Amino acid sequence: MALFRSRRRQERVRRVLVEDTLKHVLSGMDQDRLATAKSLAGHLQTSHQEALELVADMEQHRLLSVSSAGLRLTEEGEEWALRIVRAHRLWERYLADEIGKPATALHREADRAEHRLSPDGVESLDAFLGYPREDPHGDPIPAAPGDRMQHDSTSLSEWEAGVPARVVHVEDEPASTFLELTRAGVRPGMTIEVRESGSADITLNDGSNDIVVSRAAASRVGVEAVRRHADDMPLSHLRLGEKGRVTRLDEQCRGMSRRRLLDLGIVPGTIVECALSSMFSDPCAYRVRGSMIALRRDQSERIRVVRESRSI
Amino acid sequence: MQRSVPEGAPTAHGAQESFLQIAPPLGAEDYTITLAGNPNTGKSTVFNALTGLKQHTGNWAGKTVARAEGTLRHGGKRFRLVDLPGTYSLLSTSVDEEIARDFILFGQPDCTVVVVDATVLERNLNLVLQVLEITDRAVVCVNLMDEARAKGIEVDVDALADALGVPAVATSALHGEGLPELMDAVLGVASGEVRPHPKRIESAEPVAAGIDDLTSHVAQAFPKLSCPRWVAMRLLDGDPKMREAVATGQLALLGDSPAAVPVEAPPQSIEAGRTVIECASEVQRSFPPEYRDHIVESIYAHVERIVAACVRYTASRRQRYGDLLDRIITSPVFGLPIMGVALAVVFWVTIAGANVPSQMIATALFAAGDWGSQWFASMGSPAWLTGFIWDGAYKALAWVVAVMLPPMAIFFPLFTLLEDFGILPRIAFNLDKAFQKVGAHGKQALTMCMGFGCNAAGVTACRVIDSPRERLIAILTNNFVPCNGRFPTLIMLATIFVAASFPPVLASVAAAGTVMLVVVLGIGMTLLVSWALSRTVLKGEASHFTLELPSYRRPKILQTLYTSLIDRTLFVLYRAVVMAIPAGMVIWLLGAIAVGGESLTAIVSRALDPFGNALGLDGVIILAYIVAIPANEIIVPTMLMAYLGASTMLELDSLDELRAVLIDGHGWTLLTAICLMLFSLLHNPCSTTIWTIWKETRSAKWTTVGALLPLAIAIAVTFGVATIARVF
Repeated sequence: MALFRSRRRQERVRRVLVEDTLKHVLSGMDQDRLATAKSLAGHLQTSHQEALELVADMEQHRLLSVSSAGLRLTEEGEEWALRIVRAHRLWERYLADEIGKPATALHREADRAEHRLSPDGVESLDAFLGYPREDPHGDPIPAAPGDRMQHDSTSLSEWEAGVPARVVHVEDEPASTFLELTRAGVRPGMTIEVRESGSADITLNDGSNDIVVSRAAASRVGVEAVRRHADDMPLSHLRLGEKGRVTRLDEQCRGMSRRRLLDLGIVPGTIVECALSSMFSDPCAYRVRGSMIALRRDQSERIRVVRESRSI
Repeated sequence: MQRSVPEGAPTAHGAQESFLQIAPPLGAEDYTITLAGNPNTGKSTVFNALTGLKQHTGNWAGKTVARAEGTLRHGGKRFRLVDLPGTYSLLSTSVDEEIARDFILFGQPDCTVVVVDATVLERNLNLVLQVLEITDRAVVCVNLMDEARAKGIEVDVDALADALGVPAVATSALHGEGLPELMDAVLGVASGEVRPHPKRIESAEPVAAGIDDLTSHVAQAFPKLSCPRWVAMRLLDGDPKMREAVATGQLALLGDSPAAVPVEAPPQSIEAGRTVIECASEVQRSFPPEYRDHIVESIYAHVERIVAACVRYTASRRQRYGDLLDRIITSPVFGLPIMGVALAVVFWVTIAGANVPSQMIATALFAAGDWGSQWFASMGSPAWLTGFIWDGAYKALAWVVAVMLPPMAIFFPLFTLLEDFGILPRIAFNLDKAFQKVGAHGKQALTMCMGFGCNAAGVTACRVIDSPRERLIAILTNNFVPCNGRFPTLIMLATIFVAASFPPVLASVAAAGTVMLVVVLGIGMTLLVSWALSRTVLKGEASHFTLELPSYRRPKILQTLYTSLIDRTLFVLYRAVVMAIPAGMVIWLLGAIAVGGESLTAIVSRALDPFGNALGLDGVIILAYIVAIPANEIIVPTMLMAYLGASTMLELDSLDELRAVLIDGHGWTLLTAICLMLFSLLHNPCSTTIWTIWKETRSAKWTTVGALLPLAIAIAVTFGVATIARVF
């Protein structure tokens, strides 16, 4: 029994190594900087010899091909690799949106989960999440061979001040800058504007608050141009007694939170009134379609409204 | 409870049972009716009014969601009524919504009654329109018409029925109005005499074509299905359970009467099902992001048109008074003081009001006990047996009932009245920030308040918190507020040790103040431990928090008092029998069994003395706490029994006598009192609460934590206080 169990475990460990290799080679192909046995050894944290053996084995199984330029995946290898990447990013999406895990915990857990999902499981998960286009870091979720694995974007540290931008990618390596960015509240999907670009720091504005990030962290953020939504503001800015008309729910409002707001009737066009405010202005209660709903600030910030003139 | 990371892709909550098993076949009843509706619509009032006492509650299979079922007769037919959980919608992944939509679809009730709140018709119609996508056989019950009238809202129920295409009946369930008419309509639909034709809504453009396309595929694959469009919409929403029902072909079995034994789906259905899934994936991919947004938007667009045609508003005084009350209660300045005063008043009423009844019940029960004892003796029963039964088991039973019943019978009805009135959500609203800061949920404020009455009830109340992580925090920390059973100990200590140092005029105020202080300490401890848990073993993000603040409603005072009283009485009696009797037996045995001329009580308490002293207590107290794990009420009598070397639990009539025994006789000091108060506040929950934690979490690990964590904290704190005090 013990022999059988350890055999199964060996197979599983082997499969994880193979899949990690596939991912590494795929990433090299996508970035136009092909992987080699040496880079693989570094990535897997094994010896060069072990990496060579693994590559030879996989070549025999027709998963990849070796050339002087580096390693490339075969069609079969690419299909498998893509499925792993897809599983990883979908799992991160699931953890972030549905389970509510903090951004710093996603990668590690997804690294483990990606090897456990069956093809059916991946398909079911994708449907459940509504075929999302991107993972929580902003990376695209590939569906078919040829799909891009990274976004083309400009680094935030090179973005012009005063021009609105949409954050499309937040790199999770190195961990220190990722932690800084997460703590500062910088997330894919948000619209920002650079206020000041200093030599050590960059000051951004997200529509309501100013955020300061170091240059090093800013270089790990990818942005692209965006059309600014005219006039609308977060619901949390509505003062007691004021009314607003909902324009949209922020992209960052996801999962159960978004569904619940929709269910309660907070959809574009709805009129809401700020009726009650508790201590510290959090939570506030809003009159929505005849009922009174209390929302925390981190939720009312994700609902965009346009102020309506006061009725007499 | 939730495992840290689910193993595979998210599947539906619950086991892989056959979907058709959700509604067992009818027994003697003719029709199955189900009640759906938003929370706070008075659905339970409708249910209770229709079924009266002919109902029973349990849980939905494999879930900690309450399920109420009842029967009634109307028009010569027998109905079985199933109450569904209150839900805002049927589209989401929460357990409540899954139960509701599964039952309406797979349970195939003969009629679905959707209870709506006439004062919030717009939002309620969201659910109605969704139900009408699943089934034609529905009746809308427009409830709380009296409230609507008071608020100047006129609902034209006939126009509503026209607009929806199903029967609509106006009711005011609290006053019993409209219920016979409701059952007439239900009978009509259930018997097939009336065939409603719901007007279906069209979806918005980006998704309409895709939905129609998939709907025709579904209809082709499963011809017997009456709601292919609903199935299509669920598939496009990625609903895992629906995907499975389609892929395994089980959907083809709908339409036949519910089978008692799971039947295999025909192979061509499985094949057809797979094709449908592929089509669904394709269509879903082609959709713009946020498919559900479009669905809900089109529902609300339709709702607005209906409401414009059926509802008229006039200004009202009731609304203004309600708003004013809200402004005061949630005011940043007055809110907390008002709540503090209200809590103090509730305590005072409970304690003062329970005093006399407790004495009376105690006297009566002890007299009965004496009589029983004599009776046994007169029948020649051996002394040990008489003692075992009457001085041990019965005495503990009598004690628990006498001490617990009156306070519970006052506290819980009061609490329920506040709940029915609508105050509780406002309390959660006020305190949410504090709980948010420690990583918990605002509704924990409410479960905490329940815990003042009874910790076991508080733990069960934690079901209102959706997120498993936050629910667990609320369950584990509920113990830190003192329940009714611990109050006698606290009051006694406060009166003897604290009030004694004050002039008699201020004595009762001082005592009350001390108890309030302990309560505040308990609340602080709850927040502290919640914070610690959410930083360590229960890490995670704050879940979404949306809280509805329903309008204030006049509660039916007498009715509430009556039902609450019955509920609580039964609970106390049940607990007394199950928990207190064994404890009483153990106590008696400890006192009766002698080794080397000394009773076990004396021996054990002496052995526990060193440990007790380290905590600022003594061996007798520790022994009493161990024995009283089933029921905290018997701590004081047990202690006295041990101190006085008596063979049975007893109470002293005057506080002076008590003071003499404790202070003069056994060296209690202020330190002892303080440590005992702390220990009483923080120590492990009673066995009923531990068992309730097990029932709610179904996890041995968390139940153990729930039992031992408070104990560990209690030991650490009392040890710390005792050590520091001794240094000075």
